[in-house]
Amino acid sequence: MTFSLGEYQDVFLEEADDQLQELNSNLLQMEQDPDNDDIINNIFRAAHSLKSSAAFVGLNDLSDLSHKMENLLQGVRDKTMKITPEIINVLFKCFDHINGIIGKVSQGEKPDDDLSSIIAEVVRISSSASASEPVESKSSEPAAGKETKNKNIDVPKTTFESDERKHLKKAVDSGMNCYELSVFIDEDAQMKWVKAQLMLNSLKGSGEVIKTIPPENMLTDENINQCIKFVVASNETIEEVAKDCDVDLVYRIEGSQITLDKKDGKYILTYHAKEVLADYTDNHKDEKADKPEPSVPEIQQSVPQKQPDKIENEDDETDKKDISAASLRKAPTLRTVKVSVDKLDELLNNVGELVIANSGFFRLYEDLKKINADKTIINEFKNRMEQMSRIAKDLQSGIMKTRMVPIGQVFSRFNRLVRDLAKDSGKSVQLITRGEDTELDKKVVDVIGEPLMHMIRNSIDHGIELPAEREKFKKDETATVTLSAHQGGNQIYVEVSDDGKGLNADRIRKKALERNLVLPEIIANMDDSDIYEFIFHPGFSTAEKVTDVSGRGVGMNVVKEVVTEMNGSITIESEPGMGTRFIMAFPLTLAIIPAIMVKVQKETYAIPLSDVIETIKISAKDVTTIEGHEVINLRSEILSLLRLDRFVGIDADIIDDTKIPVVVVGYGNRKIGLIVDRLEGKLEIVIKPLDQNYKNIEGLAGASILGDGSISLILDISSMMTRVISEQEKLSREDRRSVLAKSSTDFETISQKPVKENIPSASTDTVRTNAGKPVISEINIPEGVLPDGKKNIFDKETTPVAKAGISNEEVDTQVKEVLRNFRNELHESVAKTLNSGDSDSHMKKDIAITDDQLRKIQILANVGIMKGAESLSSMIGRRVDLAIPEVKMMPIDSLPAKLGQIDEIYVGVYMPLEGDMRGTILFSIPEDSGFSLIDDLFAFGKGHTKEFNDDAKSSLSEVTNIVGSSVLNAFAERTGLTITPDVPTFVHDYMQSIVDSILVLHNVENDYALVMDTEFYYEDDRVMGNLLILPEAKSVKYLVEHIKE
Amino acid sequence: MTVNELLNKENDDNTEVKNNENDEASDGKIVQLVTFTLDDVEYGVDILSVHEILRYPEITRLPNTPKFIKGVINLRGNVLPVVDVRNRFGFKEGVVTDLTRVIVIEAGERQIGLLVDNVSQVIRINDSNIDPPSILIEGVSEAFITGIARLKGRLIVILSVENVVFSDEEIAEKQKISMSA
Repeated sequence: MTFSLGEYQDVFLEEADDQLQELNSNLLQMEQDPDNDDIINNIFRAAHSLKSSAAFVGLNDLSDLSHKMENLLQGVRDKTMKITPEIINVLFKCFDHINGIIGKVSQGEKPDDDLSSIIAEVVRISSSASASEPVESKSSEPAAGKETKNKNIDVPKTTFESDERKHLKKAVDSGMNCYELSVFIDEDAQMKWVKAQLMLNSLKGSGEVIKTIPPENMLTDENINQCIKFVVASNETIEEVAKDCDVDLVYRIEGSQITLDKKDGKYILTYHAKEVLADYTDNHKDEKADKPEPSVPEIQQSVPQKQPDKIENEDDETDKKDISAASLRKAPTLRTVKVSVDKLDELLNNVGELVIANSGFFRLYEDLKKINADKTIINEFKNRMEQMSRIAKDLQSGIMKTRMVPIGQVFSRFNRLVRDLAKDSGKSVQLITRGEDTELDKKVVDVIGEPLMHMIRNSIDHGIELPAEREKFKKDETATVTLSAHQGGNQIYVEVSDDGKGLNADRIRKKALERNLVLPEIIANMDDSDIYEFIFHPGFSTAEKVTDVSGRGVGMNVVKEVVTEMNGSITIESEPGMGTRFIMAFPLTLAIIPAIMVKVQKETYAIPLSDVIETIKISAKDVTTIEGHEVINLRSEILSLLRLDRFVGIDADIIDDTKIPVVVVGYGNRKIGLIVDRLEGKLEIVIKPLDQNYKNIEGLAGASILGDGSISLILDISSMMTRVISEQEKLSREDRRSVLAKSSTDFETISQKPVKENIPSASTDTVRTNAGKPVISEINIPEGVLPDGKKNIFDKETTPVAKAGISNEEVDTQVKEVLRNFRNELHESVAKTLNSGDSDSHMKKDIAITDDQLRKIQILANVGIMKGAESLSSMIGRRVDLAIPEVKMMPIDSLPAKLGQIDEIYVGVYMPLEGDMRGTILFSIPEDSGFSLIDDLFAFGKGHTKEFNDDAKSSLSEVTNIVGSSVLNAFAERTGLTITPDVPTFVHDYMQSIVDSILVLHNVENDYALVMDTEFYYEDDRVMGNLLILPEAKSVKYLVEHIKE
Repeated sequence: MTVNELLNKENDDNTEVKNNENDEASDGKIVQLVTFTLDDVEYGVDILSVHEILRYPEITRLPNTPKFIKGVINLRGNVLPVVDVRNRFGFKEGVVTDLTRVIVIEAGERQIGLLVDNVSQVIRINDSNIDPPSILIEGVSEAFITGIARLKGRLIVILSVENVVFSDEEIAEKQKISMSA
């Protein structure tokens, strides 16, 4: 097996090679131009990056060497040392070593080079170079703080054994000086024994080591406290010797000379005064910005010093080694190649052309067949042609894939940021990353860092509470920020979530009103998810104080912009007290997108499929015009219409007695319907930006070349929507009274069908209509082209003329009347929403149920669901708590959102109700709660169940059956009715789908339903699941009538 | 028609002219211009900026752009805008004929097409015969012109292509004119 550094090996090799190239060329330049700061900075940067990337892949030796180089360069950069040929040489030597290591790694060998000698050399040079250029008055006296620090350190006493004493005497007799060195290593330092060994080796090079404390054979991390002592005999000065000990993370070196005096026939050891030979106490903690500006060794002149000649035999040795290293020096063979995205795009372009050119052969083939030439040649031609087409397509998808890179490299950057931010804000935060292998278009990966950073900052600064606060809410003291990525369909989702306090919708509301971003009556009808959108406004911030991390309201705006630029979308989910989640969705690749092709007259336009919600056909009579806007009522939601022909400035081709094709597009939380002439089917298209040769045009995202060589323009839904919405808002901001002055024909439609109260619409358009439901025929978009056959002509003037027999005055009064009613109702509804939160009164009216009756049902539900909880509790043998059941009228549309996270997977068991009461009972459980419920039921260990097998399914169905029956029994008892549950059905799907499958069974007469809903909790407050009872409207009344007092 | 064909044509037609020019001022730099005629006025663009000349291609209309942007064309996978020079200069709309051409210009990194009625020839001219754009040509704004070339009694207006496409003030001005007209 070959040696490998793991999945990042290729990235590392590529980077390291680049950095080395840069280092080499810059160093060469520096040799020529030693005073150029830019060059030094470049070298410094490259060394720094190399250090980080080496450490990242676990090449600690290499990282250490780079660190030493960095230290040396720091001195150069800070002008505390002069660039000498010696420095340049040692740096080149380092590069050779690094190159050797990279080469070995790329060939699959284990890099086992011993770097200690070169490291020692770098250290020696960096300290000697700085010493030769004394820095003034730096730490001539150790600061008081340093002294106190040292007090705590247990400095061992030096005592000598007899043989050591002999050794000492011999050394002194031979004319060497004898020193005692105390070296202090940072207590957090890793692998102290390696450092000690390093010092020992260096010391042995400069003299004889007489004694080490702890002893040499016991130099293990456990034995090394912060201080190591060496007794050395050497011909060199104490400063020179001390340099041998000056390795990484040594923050202080003290030394004293030992002399041997003869007194009364005995030898007495005399310790001279201690000198501080090196002290980095000030910055020894700061690993990253380690600035070893070695203090000037304090030399006590009184101590007599020999000045022996420098012996540099160690240098010679390393030189020899380096020659062999240099001869090995060759470019490492890498398995990756860096290619600019531009080149790829160009290739992609050409391949696209190839595909198109190839389609020409098909025509040629058809022609050939007609000529009736030699069949074998024609067949051969066909084979070759098909082969070529296949190759071209493979090429295309291959090039497309090269643009994809894993997002993990972006995620890994944030560990540090989270750590630092958490530390600064006094919070405890852990970062969890998921789905690092998810591949995204290179372009997205390149720019996604910034938005992620802003979101993470926001989460930590605003979202996450202080530990004390978290404790109060019984949350884990350590907060979690999760970065995750996954692919879903043709989208890549990147999420940032935290378990902090969530967004404060009320405060955002207040702020939005303060800043006049929206009208009060509009905001009243907006639900929280719409409200959250405001935080993307430039300069929008609810932070009371601006910190240096966030609060200026810039960040989220940047997020939105970047995401939009990458054709992505962003949504926010937030639960007060539980946390916030930002979900970004990006198209799989930016180069090629699926699109729906539509026609307006003869012009073809492409609508990116990611923006399309559905395509429908409506009849012209369903279109209502309100305040100059055409709208339809689409499943009780107001949908504004935009005529694409008008947007692109030509006249359409539709007749009004046919169904008009409408493409419903959405952007963010908004939707509009685009009226087109014809739908032409789905196509994969390559986006070519228009600003490459011209400039960006509002409403267009670019152009695409179709198979026949013609150009189709791609619509930019987001900018179209912005335009439509701003036009609408302009209108609604204008005094609505002015609308009255408008020509009455505009309102003909309204006056004929008086405005009726409808459900509050989430759209910003407060105008309501009840023009009757349009006939919606969903059409499936086929893969190929969808020819519409007939030519349609649609009368552009949709505004019907006033009917004969009604005079203009009459119409006017009617209009005024209607508008007045409408305004009153609007005000009423707004006031209601604002004051009581009871927005469902009108629904009660529709189902004809009184408040009194509703209360009775509430009591009934209470009793029933209590019984259910009891049986559930006895089944799983744990206490089950439940929330007070909510009995409520609500729009069926909002049911899924009410029951859980729409985009999360749930387990649901539903049972249709038979007998006197019809309806459905649904027990829905989040997927993971479902697993733990199974664990509890079967008394498995926690986390045992990982999937729902048949046993699990049937037991969950049984649970529902039991719980449901106890609820129904309670109902039956109180009403005297017969209610029996039917066979339970198990569903494992998204909440939306679960609810949909129930609604299909259910006879939904109204758009709203009476729901009885409660949440079950485990004894430890975890959500177990929801129980929902959904009776049919008629049954509700029947039920109410039979409730016994 | 390729540039080479034009050059050949030029050699056939204008040998005399060329010689005259060379005799007149042999010390100046020779500039080659691709010329076309609009309403009896001759215009020229520097041949060095001409990428190629196309017969009238299929042009896709570009909505929400000034009127003089005729649309975009597909030049071997490259989508480039085409400027209707007549419209840009405020002349009345022309008719597409067999002679109608698109001159593909390279302006910086961009490629732009100029829709013209015809391409007449390539002329060589000594740059000492080019005057700064002091003479105002009827209907054509000064900003579009880099100079006026004199050649045997002919006047050739040399266009600044980049301004023809991108000068926004001019766009506004022209639109005002065409609206009032």
